[in-house]
Amino acid sequence: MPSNPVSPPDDDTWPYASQTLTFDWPAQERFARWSGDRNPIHMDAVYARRTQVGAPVVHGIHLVLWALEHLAATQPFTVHSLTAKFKAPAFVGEHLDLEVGAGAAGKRRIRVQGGGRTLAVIQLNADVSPSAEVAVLAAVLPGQWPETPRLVTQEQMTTQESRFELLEDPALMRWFPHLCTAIGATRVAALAGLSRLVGMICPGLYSVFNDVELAVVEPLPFDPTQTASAPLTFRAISYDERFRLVRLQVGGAGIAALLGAYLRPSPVQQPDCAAIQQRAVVSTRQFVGATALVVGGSRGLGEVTAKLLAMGGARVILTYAVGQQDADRVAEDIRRHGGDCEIRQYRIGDAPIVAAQDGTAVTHLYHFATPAIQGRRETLFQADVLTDFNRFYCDDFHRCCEALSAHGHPVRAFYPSSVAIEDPPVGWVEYAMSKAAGEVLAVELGRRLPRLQVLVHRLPRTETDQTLSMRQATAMPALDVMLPLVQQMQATV
Amino acid sequence: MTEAQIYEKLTVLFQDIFDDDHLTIHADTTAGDVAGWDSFNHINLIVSAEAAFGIKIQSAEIEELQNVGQFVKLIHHRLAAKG
Repeated sequence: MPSNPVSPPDDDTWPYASQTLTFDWPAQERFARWSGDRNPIHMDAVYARRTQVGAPVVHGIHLVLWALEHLAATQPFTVHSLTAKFKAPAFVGEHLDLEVGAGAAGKRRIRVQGGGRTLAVIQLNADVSPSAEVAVLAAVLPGQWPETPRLVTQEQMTTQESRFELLEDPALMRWFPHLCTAIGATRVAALAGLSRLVGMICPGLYSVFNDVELAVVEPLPFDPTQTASAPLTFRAISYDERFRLVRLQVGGAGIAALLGAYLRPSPVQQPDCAAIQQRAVVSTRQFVGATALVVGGSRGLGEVTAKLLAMGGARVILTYAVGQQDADRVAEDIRRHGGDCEIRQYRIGDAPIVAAQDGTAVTHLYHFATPAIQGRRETLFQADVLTDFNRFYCDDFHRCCEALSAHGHPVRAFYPSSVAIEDPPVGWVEYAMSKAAGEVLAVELGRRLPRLQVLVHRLPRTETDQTLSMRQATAMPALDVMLPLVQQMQATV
Repeated sequence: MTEAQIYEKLTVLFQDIFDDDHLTIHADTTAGDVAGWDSFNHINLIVSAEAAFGIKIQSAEIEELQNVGQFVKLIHHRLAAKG
C-alpha cells in the first residue's frame, strides 16, 4: 500500500477515494481550476442545454482521476499504461458508482456507472501499449493556453499542434494523494492537462472527449510528490471528416498518449429577421392586430415563429425559461428590424400569461416549451421521462389554454405535435407518447373551451438544437416548416 | 472471412462498446435492441469495425444500414473486394 505523501485538506472531505460519488458544482469548479478546462459544456448550464446532451457534463478526465485515486487508495497500484473510453455523459449532480474488476495478465478494469449504464471504462495494464509509445514531438513550437475554448474548424483540424506548460496546482496532491504517490504528481497534472487540451484547444469549444490510450514514460523528470512546470506537447495526427473524429498524439510530463475526440455539431443558428425580410416570406402588415404569445421563444421553432410573427406586424410576447441571453438576442433582432417584442420569463407551472404588459389580450398562443428530448435512456420506456414530457406537452398547454379562454377574448392556439408519433426514433418513445397524448388533449380543448380554436400539426424533423446528432440526419429548416403554419394560424386576424 | 467469423469478431466489438460481456447480436438486431446504441456509439461502432477489419465504409453506406445483418454483409463484401 503506498504511503500518503500529504494530509487531505482540512477544509473539505470530498471523498475521491469513495466508491460512490456525486459531482456537484464546487467539484466542477475545482477540476476546472486544476485542469484549466472551462469548456461551457461543463461549466454553464444554460449553454449546455443547447448541446445534444442537454445538461452540464462532468469532465471525463475528472472521472478517471476519481477512479484511479480510489484504486490507489485501496489496492497496491502499479501502472505502465491505461486506456479510458467515455461512453456516455455523466451529469453534474448525478449519483455515480465505481465498479473495480480484475482482468487477465494483471489488468484492472474500472467502470463508472450512472443510471444503470456504463458511462466510462478505465483499464490499467501492466505492459506498455505499443501504440502509445513516446511521441516524437520535438519540432512542435510553444503556444499559449487560451482563456476561452478555441473554435477549430474542420479545415484547420489537421494542422493543430503546440506545446504548453501544465498548470502547477498543489491542490492536486492534496485531493489525489494516493494517485500522486503511485504515478507522480506531474503525471496527474498531465492527465488533467489532457482535458484542457481537448476542451480548450483541439477540437476546443465543440469537443467531445472519446478515448485516451496513455503510457507512463520513464524517467519522470520531476519529484513525483510535487507538481512542477512541465511542457505537454500535442499534434493532430489524423482527422476523419465522415465522423468529425480527430486523433491527437500527446507527449511530455512523463506520459505519452493517443487521444480521440469528436467535433460535435454546433448549436443551430436560426435565420435572423433580415434574412426573413429578404426572403419576403411575410408582408409587414400581414399579422397586424394580433398579439401572439410564443412560449419557449428564445431558440429553435419558437425563435423562428416569434421572428415571423413580428416581421408580419404582430405584437410578440416571447417567453424563456432559463436562456435570457438567447431571448434578449431574439428580441433585439426583432426590434432592430422594426418589430414589436416583449420578453417574459416563464417556467412551466407559472401563472399563465394572458395579456401584454399594457393589458392587451393575447390572441394567439404558440406553445413550444420543452425539456431536452435526447437524453440517456437505460430502458425502452421510462415512466419518469414520460411524466416529465407530459408536464410540458400536456399539463402546461392545458393550463395556458384554460387561462386564455377564461380571459374572455377569442384565442387561437397552435399545438406542435410530431411525426415521431408515427415512427419514433430510438430513444424517443416517451416523447412520441407524450405528443400523442397532447394531440388528444389539444383537440378536446378546442372542442370544449369557449372562444378557443386549436390547430394541431405533426411537425417533421426540424433543424433545431433538439435534433442535433453526431450522425448526418435529414432535417427541414425551421423557417420552411413554420411559415405555412403561422400563416394558417393568423389567417383569420 | 465467412459471415459467421465476421459475426464472431463483431460480437466482441459490440460487447466492448456497449460494455456488456453477454451481449449477443443477430442479423435482425437494431439500435433499438441494444441499450446505449445512440448516434455517438453508432459512430464508435463503425470506427472500431473499420479498424478491426481493415476496411473503409462510405458515409452513405453507413446511413443505409438498418440492422446488424446488413452491416455484416457490407463488411463481407468489402473484405471480398480486398481479396
